[in-house]
Amino acid sequence: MFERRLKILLFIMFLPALAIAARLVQLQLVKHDYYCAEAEDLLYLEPVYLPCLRGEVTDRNGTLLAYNAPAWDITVHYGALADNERALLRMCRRLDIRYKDASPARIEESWRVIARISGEPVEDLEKHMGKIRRRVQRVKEWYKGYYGYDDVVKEETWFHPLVRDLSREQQIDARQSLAPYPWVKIEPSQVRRYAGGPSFGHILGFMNEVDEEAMDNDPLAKDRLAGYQLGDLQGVTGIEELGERFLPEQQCRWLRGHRGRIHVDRKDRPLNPPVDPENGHIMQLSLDAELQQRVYEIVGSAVQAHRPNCTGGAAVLIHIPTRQVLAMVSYPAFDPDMPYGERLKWFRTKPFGQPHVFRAVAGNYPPGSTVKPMILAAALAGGKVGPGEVIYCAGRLFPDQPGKWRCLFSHGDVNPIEAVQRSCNVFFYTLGQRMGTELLTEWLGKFGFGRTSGTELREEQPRYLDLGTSRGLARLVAIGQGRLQVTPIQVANMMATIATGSYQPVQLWLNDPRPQPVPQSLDIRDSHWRIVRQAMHDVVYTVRGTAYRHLHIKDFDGLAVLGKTGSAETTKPGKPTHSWFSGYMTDKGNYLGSATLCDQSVAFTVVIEYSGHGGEVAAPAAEKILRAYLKLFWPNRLSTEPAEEDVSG
Amino acid sequence: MIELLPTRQGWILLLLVLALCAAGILTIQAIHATGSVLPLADDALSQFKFTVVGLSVMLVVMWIGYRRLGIWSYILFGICLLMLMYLVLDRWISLPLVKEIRNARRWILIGPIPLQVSELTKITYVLALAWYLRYRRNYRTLTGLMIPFAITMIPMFFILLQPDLGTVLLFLPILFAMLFAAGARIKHFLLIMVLGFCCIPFFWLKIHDYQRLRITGVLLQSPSLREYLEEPPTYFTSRKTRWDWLRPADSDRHRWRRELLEWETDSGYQLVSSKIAIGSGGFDGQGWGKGVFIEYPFLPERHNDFIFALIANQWGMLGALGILFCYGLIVLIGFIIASMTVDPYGRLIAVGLSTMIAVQALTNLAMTIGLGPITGVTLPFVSAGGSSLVTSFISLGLLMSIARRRPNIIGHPPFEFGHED
Repeated sequence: MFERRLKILLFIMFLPALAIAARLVQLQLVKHDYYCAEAEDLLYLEPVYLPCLRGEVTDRNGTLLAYNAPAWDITVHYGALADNERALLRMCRRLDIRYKDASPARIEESWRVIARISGEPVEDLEKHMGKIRRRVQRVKEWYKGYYGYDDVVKEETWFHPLVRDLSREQQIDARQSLAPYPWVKIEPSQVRRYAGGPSFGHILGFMNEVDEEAMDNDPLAKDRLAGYQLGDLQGVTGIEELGERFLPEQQCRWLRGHRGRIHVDRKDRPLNPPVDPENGHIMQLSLDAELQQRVYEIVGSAVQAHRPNCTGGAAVLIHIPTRQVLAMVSYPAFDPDMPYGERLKWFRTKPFGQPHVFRAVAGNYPPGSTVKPMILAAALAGGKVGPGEVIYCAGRLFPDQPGKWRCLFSHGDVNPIEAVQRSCNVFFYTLGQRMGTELLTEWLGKFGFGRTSGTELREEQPRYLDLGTSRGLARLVAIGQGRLQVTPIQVANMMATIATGSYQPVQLWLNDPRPQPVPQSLDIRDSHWRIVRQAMHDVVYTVRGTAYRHLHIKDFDGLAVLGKTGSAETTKPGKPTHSWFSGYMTDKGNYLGSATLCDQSVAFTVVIEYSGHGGEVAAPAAEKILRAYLKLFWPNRLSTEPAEEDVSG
Repeated sequence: MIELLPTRQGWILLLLVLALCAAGILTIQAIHATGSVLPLADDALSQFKFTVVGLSVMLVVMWIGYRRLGIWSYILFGICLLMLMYLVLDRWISLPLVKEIRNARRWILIGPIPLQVSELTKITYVLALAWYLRYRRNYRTLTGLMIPFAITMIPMFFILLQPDLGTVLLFLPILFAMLFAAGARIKHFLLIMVLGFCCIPFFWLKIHDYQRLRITGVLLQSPSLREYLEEPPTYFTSRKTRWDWLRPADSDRHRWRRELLEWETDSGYQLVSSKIAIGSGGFDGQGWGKGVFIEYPFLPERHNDFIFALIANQWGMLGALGILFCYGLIVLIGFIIASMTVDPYGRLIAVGLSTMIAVQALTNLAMTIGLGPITGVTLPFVSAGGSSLVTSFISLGLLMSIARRRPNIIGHPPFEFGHED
């Protein structure tokens, strides 16, 4: 019996042993491949992305305008801010934290510490976190839409920057205070710094975190290295935005480089070939930092001199042979290095002159008389006025309507040249009436109005031409009033067009890899151009010229300034007019010919808001600007007065 | 000195055990010094030393002989119980010489050596029970079973308080095997088993959450079950479900759900890693000292409770079945020894110790491959650890001693009740 019972016992023990053997067969033979893959998965490590630097922005001489500086950010793991249990668990696993240590209370506590360090209220941090959550959710939705199933996306395993650019003290404080919270890291990053001061405030623009729209429309979305990733910064305005645009031929964004990547497993076997990071390209602007600063000061002093009526001003200087913008100033402006949040706060305090408006490309002005040379050229080309035709100005267009359609004086008989020289409104009312808004629109378009001028800045406004249909509106447009609204850069480029006889967009980005637009010759006879140029010459150099008394440019050696003043009436009753002076500087010996061959030739526009007559306010400012230009670029073309005296003496 | 010469069964036993020890030492060596067998790394060296100590203890036990231990068996068992009580007392009064690890008091420091009392208790329990049962026959009645059960319950109670659930569960199979071999009636067993099953819900309510999770872990391996259970609580599902009993007692639905969500990485992590290690071993294994699990500490307790996973990883199914085969042979030889001796005391000891080794090995293997709950039961002769190894060698010594002392008198073999029934 004993042995029988032993056999039974053996049999009882044999059963689990058999089960174990069967299980071994299942694990090691049947599911061997599956477990091999699982074991291989254990070796997987996340790829390490190496950051790249954003390209620098320089002026035409290589002076740095925007550059990268090392900084420290507070970053938070997505699991902690996701408000989602699975994400939190994933975070605990990745970071090797016990689940209990990542309780909601402790996570809340860490937000309070971050708020204390950064000085931002917790609500603001939460708003920011909400933004990150929404973006990750979008990526997840995209993933689900693309692959058809829900899965963990990379963004859910990252640390996302919550507070950027800590000061030294903040950084030290953060390292000490945030050490107990493993889901918060202080990570090195870079911050964009801007030089050049307020004169470059509008042009350089600012950067912000990549928004959902940009990520959705990213043509490089499939490229992990060059495409946008959550938390990336992108240029939002100004040159930063321009350098952010995707260039299809180069397959890149000019200022952005691409990240590097090292992807190895735990055994250091490469899972993907390593990629070196490549920094963004340097973006060279056609502006000259020193000239820009001088122009800013000149416009600023002109504006300040006419306060409180005057609210701001703008000036543009274009090199005519190349159409490069040498200076483009809007006053008042702001320091581009001022953090965006602070800047917004400052804007909300309603500071003097709406500094957020980039007047040079987005100002909304009636051009006033500065548009007259162009109207004359168009009328001559369209045969609406003969080269020697005389129109009688009685100080008003209709003798029976003395209060309407007036001229400043009664000019008597005026020919086209005199009409521009003396800025006769009646002459141009007549031209406008003869041309009609349709023809005016066509010609204004040919001279670059109603479209952007070629800076490609996001801020630039084309100011659509919607001139109406009535004859009255046509008359008003012909003297630069009515529905015609322009930006200073359009006027400056119009002057360059008059100087060369052909329209060409301006160039702001000097090393733009894309092909440059070719000049479009306007269908205007040379003799007509000569009439227009002579008229503009007479504005400055003849006693009856509207700018004659206000410009003192005898020391410009071998150079002539051709221009047109403008006093644009505004809709604000009782306020002085906008003061315009626009024109170009060219070779004195051949001022009637095309300015293309003269290397010194520049087109300029100065507008000072609500400051009075164009000749009185804008013309002296323009003179100073031209003087500054010559001093910086062509000092030998600026003969000093005492030197002349010495020679004569 | 004739006592020290093993018999034929003894030699086979010794060879099997040495093979198991070698597998253990080699695996521990592989973990700590990838690539070479010699010199032995610290942990492997200490395991080797314990093996030598174990062999010496085995020789001492053989020299003493199991018969001479017989009269001491109650006293030895009593000492063990006293030591267990001492350990339990430490829960309330801080006592010297007690080593506490992770809130468990299982070790008494004898000099510098920590002695795991429950390991020694298992042996002395077998001795005492065998001594009690050897000439009786009252265990063939239901009331006569009360004393053997009492002898079992006392150490179980103390060890449960340590707490060491794994060791506690070893006692009952040993008791049943010894009573069964001794000829207790099957109907009594059935009755006790029914009563025992009735007690299970009570135990289920009483055990700790982590113990419950270990047991439910066997079921929770199935991802589909976990997914089914982790349904977020809504108005409609907040009522009780039929799976609620799986839930730890002091855990609400939310915590339980969290537990399920993190099962693979938290309470189930060990089991998941162990299965990957075994599964990736394949038929012939990764080779000694090779493989992911040797190089990286993905598997917790890989040198100890989960050493079988590494063996199966390195030597594949051949190695794993080899280990299983070794244990099978050890148990078979243990039973052969039991059947060859006519001494009732020796018979019961042989059955008890063989069962002990078998149950320990089966529990450990089952837990490693996910067929049983995770308990702290080590793999005899293989897992790192002095007390376990030396205890196993004591059992081996006893078995060999029984094999050695085959009485040459021809007498009535004991526990042969069959013809009377």
